[in-house]
Amino acid sequence: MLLRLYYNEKWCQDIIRIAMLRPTPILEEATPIMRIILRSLVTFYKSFALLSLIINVVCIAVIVKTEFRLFPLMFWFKATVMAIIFYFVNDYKQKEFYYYQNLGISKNTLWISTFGFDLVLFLLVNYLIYALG
Amino acid sequence: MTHILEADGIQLSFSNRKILSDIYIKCETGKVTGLLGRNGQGKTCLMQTIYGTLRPDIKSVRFDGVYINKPYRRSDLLAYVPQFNFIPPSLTIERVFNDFKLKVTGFEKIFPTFGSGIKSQLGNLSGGQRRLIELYVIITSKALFVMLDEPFSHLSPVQVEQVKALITEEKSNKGFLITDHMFRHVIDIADHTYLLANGKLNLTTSVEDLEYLGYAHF
Repeated sequence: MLLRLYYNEKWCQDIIRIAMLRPTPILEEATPIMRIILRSLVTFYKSFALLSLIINVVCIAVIVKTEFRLFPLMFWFKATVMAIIFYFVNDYKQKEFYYYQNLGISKNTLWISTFGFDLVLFLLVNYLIYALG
Repeated sequence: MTHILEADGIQLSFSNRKILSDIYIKCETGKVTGLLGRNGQGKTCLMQTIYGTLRPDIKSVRFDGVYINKPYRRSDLLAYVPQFNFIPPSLTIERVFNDFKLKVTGFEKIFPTFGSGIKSQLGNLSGGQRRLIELYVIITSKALFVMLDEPFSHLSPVQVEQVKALITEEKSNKGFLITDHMFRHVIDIADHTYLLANGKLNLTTSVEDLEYLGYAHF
């Protein structure tokens, strides 16, 4: 409303021009920031990725062997192992969380992103096996 | 333009023992604020409370008068060096500098005798070298305010002087809150100093105040 009222004023057009210019540097900045965040998430994920991979392979092997009859059991086994991983990593990586926080990445972001990825990967592989075979 | 970080109204207690109760602390950009106190008085607790990683019963942390609940989520406002090594040991120096968008050349200019290549992993450095990297990346980070918990531990006397010079140089565009048991170094660079004793924060105006409050003998 205000914009319409003062649109022909020079000061208003100046503000619009500056506002239109602003996204360019923000977008330029956004890419390296996203890269830093993704790289940091990968670094954090590496701290338990191997264990998680082993659990995934074991669970999927059992699920395939039993023709998906034990899927619910294996899902809850996977969830329990993830809870144990959370407990131990949260403890022994306690000091390192300050590194990520100083980069603007909170503990919640680290956990939700890495666990989310891990769980989606697990479910996706199961779905692909189920759909293809 | 001067920016202000204030913290007050903090009530922190552990199993009926009051750690922090009568607190008012103010930091300004362009100034170094010292925080002294004997062991167990709650200096680290106060810093963690300001940073937001420790949640007391009551607290108020404000930047330019605006209350921020979790300052650790705002790396542009506040950065924190804890008293222990916090950078993952698997990372290389180059990677850490890239993460903080810093140039290694700036670091080499200030610390010419550092002695390790940029491809070295943090875990392979000595305690002092590791501490120096941590201090440099946080002190020169983009944050408006920087809190340093025992920054001079593990450093050689020459390195301590270099870090002090770096803080003095960087304070032109940010504010510092520093605590360390090497209190002479803190007093040396601080524009004003607080003493934490019995849960209360006292703004000191001279070294005699520190002696009077039972912190040090001169």
